[in-house]
Amino acid sequence: MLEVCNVSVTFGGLAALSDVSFNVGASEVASVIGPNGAGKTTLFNVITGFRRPTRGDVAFSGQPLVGRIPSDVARAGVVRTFQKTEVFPGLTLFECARMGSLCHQRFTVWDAIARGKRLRDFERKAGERARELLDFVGLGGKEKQLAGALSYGEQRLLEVAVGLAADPRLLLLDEPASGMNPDEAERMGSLIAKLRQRSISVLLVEHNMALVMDISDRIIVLHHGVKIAEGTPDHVANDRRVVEAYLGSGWGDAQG
Amino acid sequence: MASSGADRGKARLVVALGAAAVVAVPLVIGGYHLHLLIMAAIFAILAASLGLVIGYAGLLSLGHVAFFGIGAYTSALLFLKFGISMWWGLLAAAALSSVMAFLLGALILRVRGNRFVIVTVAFAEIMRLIAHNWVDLTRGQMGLPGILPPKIAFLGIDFNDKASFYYLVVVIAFLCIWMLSRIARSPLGWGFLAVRENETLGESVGVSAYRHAMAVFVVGAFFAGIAGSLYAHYINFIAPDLFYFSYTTILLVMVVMGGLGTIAGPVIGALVFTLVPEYLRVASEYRLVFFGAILIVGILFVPRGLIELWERALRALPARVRELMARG
Repeated sequence: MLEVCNVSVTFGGLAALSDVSFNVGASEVASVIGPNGAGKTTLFNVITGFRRPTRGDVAFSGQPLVGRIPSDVARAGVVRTFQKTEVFPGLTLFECARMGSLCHQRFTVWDAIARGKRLRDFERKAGERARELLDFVGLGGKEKQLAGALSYGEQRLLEVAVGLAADPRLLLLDEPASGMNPDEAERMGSLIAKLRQRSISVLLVEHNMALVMDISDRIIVLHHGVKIAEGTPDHVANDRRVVEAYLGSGWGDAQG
Repeated sequence: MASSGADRGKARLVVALGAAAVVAVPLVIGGYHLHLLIMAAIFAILAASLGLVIGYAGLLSLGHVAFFGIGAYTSALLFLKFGISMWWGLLAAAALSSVMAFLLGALILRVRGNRFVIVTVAFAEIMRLIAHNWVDLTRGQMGLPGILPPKIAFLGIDFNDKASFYYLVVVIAFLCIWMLSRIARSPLGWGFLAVRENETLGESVGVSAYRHAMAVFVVGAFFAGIAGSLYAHYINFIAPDLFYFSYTTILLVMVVMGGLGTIAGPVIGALVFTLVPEYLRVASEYRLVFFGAILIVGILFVPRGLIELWERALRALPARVRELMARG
């Protein structure tokens, strides 16, 4: 589905990403981990059109994504959330959750004034879908609250609903469980696991290792912008370079 | 729902009474007061259109008055040079204002934020300078006199008469505000809200900020152009001072004090802030002091705008009546 091919990003002389390649398959949960500054968020920005890579290609279902603006990337089926929580603070949860429906249908000013059948059907379906998605993420019954008034953990859940409304086939989640208490993190984990049943692939950046190990099919490890390992959770956890990246070299020697 | 029929009747009664009051006004008052109501209706169109741009899409356009002026000059020049009546002039004014908004938008709407605000101010000033200096076309500071209101010949109606023009402007204002409300509440309007609330998030779920910013900017200019045309044919005279920043200020007061994020708010704001400053003239030199005091008190006690007072008043009505009124 998603093919990231030899992507490099340099800021001035600094390489944020060097020659990173990997794939994400259908209904797969893949995670990108690595110490702070490893280039994880930059990678997300490249995939979703917020940043152009210096070199390399990104394709989704065979369509190239590089050079397209974010709303175009979303239309191709790739939607992201943000590391810093992003909601529409002044809108109700219902209004937030139906926004993404606009991804696949366009209306002109004339459509808006005429209120034809297509528009009315769309409004009804977008409303039903918004309610369904709020239920799905566990925010059912709060439709009329303002997004800005939600607790932090609830806003993170809302972000997932907002993203899902755009009907993505690949959802990129940037540290969805950061700042959450263990209960909330577990809720987020089971939510991500449920996405698979909706045939949505997930690419996850997360520092909560228990969560990552629990739900990932595959883990990609970045360190200083270089992919240093890729594989199943077990494989990665036992990789010497990964342990070194996180804990520093000499750890293995001390153990031995 | 046994009471539903009765409530629907009540809601209809409220609407009917309102409509009757609007229709009856010229029979009761005339002259100067009627003039103020006509001005208020024209400003209602202008404020509602700016309310869509600022209140819904969050684009702080400080040059909205430029599109009002473009509309006024377009309609006036078509009438004076080619004898084209306001009926066509109105449409041409709306069209040219929209085209100018599109061209300006194509230049500046890709980078929104502060630069947008400054460019809109500059645009209005450039339009003023053109009106001022292109003397061959606009007669510059001397202005354009003799812009007559339209007629409907076969019915024998001449809108030169104040009461007839009042009815004309009320009908057009009603239509414009109705269209603006529909646009605001449509899925296109949701997109405007995405631009205001969080355009990055909007983009990431497929709502193009540029497309929606452009749509709202062009729609706003379209209705501002209509208001400009009505103004020119009502006052019969226009001059470059139409483009002055002071008009922008009073428009902003109407929009913000009326209520951001609504269409009804700026309409109420236009009525109140056209009438209040005029009736404060009894206070002679203290007029602006009183006006300032009213603004401060308003911001302190009704921060969401006059629409909030209106909503509080509505809350006093039975729930079912409110619901029916909201529906139609």
